[in-house]
Amino acid sequence: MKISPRPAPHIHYHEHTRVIMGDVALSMLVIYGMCFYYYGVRVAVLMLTGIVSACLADVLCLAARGKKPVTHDISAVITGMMIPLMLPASIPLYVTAVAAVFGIFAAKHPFGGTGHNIFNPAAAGIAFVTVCFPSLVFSYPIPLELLPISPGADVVTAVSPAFTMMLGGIPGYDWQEMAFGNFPGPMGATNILVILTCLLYLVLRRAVRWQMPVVFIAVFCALCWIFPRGGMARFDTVLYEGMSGAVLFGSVFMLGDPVTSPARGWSKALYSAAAAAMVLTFRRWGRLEEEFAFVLLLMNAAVWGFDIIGEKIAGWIRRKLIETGTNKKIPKKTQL
Amino acid sequence: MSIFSKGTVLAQHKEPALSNPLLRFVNPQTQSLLIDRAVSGDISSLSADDLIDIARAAGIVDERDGVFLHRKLSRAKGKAVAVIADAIDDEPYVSSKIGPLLKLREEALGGIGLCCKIAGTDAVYIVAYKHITDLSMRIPRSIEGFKISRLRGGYPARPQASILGKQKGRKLIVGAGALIHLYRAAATGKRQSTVFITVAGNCVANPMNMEVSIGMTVQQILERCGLVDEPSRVVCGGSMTGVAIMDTERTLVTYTTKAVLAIKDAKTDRGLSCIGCSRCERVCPRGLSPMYINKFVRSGFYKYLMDYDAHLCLGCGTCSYICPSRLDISGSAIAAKQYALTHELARREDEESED
Repeated sequence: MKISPRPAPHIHYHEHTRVIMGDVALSMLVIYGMCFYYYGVRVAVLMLTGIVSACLADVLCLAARGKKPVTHDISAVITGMMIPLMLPASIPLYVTAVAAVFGIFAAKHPFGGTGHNIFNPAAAGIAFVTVCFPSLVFSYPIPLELLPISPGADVVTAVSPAFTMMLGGIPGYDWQEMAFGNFPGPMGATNILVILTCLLYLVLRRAVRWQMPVVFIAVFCALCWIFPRGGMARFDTVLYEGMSGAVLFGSVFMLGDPVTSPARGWSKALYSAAAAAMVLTFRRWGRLEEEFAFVLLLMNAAVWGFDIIGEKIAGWIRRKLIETGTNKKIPKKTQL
Repeated sequence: MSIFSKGTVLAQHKEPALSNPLLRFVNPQTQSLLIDRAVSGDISSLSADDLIDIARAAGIVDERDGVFLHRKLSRAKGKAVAVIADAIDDEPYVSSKIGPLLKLREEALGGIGLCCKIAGTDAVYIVAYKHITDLSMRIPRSIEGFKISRLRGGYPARPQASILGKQKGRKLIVGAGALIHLYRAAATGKRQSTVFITVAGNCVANPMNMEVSIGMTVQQILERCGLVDEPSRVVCGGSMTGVAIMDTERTLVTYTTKAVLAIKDAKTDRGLSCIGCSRCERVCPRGLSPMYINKFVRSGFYKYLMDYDAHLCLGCGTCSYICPSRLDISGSAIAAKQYALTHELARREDEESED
């Protein structure tokens, strides 16, 4: 009999890391479906470019570090899928590839690869191309006009609501049209209703913990309601701030990334609230129309602080419960 | 595992071991050992002190926590407010307490009666685990008038046994096997030479509950039940906390062995790292942060462990069970607990000597 010792427990929950990551990839595929409807086949090419360049960069980095690629680790695929969704559909393919490669090279592997990265690789890639190619990143094509695979200079671009609001204007889009995603903007981030459905799926599948996106959206809407933009009604501010730009997409897919977020529910909620305040601050006084990636990188650097706060709160509650004996799972010493 | 609650309910896999008949597989030489005491036929005439003497002479060990039964009984004598018969098999595959309790009812109830006599109370709780869904038999609501309480909740349910009932004060908690052995010792004068175990796992041909002699090898037991496949690991103890053994010929059944499991499974360690999903933190019954404890232990930062209350760890293994990267978090947490306890003890001794 050939038996081997292994640490307890000897049974495992069926959910594997790949299942959690696969849930995120699946919900992003749904958003790609919407993008395909609005912009045509080019979307698929963008997705493949992102995935292939991210995976190649990942394999290269692993080889440089002297490790073998793990087939069960599909985090590079997710990074590659996420980057085109934050960019306009008319973006040249090389920009997507640059963003994916930069994200993997600079934000993931220098810190130790999957699970050890401090900064979100997709956010780092987006921030890099935003700084390098601002004119390309902020020129959005009009939805429902199908794009060729390699669009020339004749692509009709339109002003996004985020840009209008940055200049102090009021976007002229109907909010119902915006909910279905029929307005210029980052190609994945405009499909508001689809993203909300994905949020529900991810929370129910527990790929994302509910504290993060729910608290983020609630605090963001509340702050917009309390501090409306000059010349806009409160309700309009909430709607346009929430639906324009990459706020909703980022809060579901990038903020909810478990690797670069705090561990405890408490710290997750505090972190999301702080991120919401930061995003609104940047949108009001920032120089760019879309700064979610920069805010996320800043917040990622502060995760350890939120972790310490959350652990202190949890430890205080734990000791109080033991002192008062109200926690049924931690009985006082009454047994013989 | 719901979205908002802590803890996790495991699939129990108790069938067919629980429904199959209880098999006696004993060594006839140890089976006939008697205690050095004249046995009177009438159990009801024995006093509390007599019963404690019998428990001591019979060498009964409570399989629940490995404590000599006579010590528990003498501490509880006349002081306990309730007797709790522990038949909580919350670990999957294991049914070595509820099985004998249901199949050897008379002896178990006799043992409960003797414990009540010693403790001087009438309050009796027979406790079984609630979330056993895949049974082909029914666990009755009561046996011979004694109600069976069902303990709800996620996997480590056994620590909750002591908060049962309305009575405030010390409670006498005895495992079902020890109750049966106490009754046998009082009625027939036999020493405890056997123990109740469950033999199960996906390689075992006839999963069943067995009464085996203490000191039998695991190999003998597996041969008795038959193997249909070559197991990749053989576990002594429960599926969540048991030890995977290396040599079946030289590992013996002891007083606290509750199961022998022969499991064949695929390789689980794929070299993945923690992705920070914080599921371990959500399921931890003590509300610890197993994820950070694991990170600190792996990287050697032991001095931070005191802030994370690692000494409260139960060692239940739920964190490793739920981990989607299949990391050995539980092993780290137990190492952290041992470190925290020794460290804390040394610190307290220093403080006392300074005072």
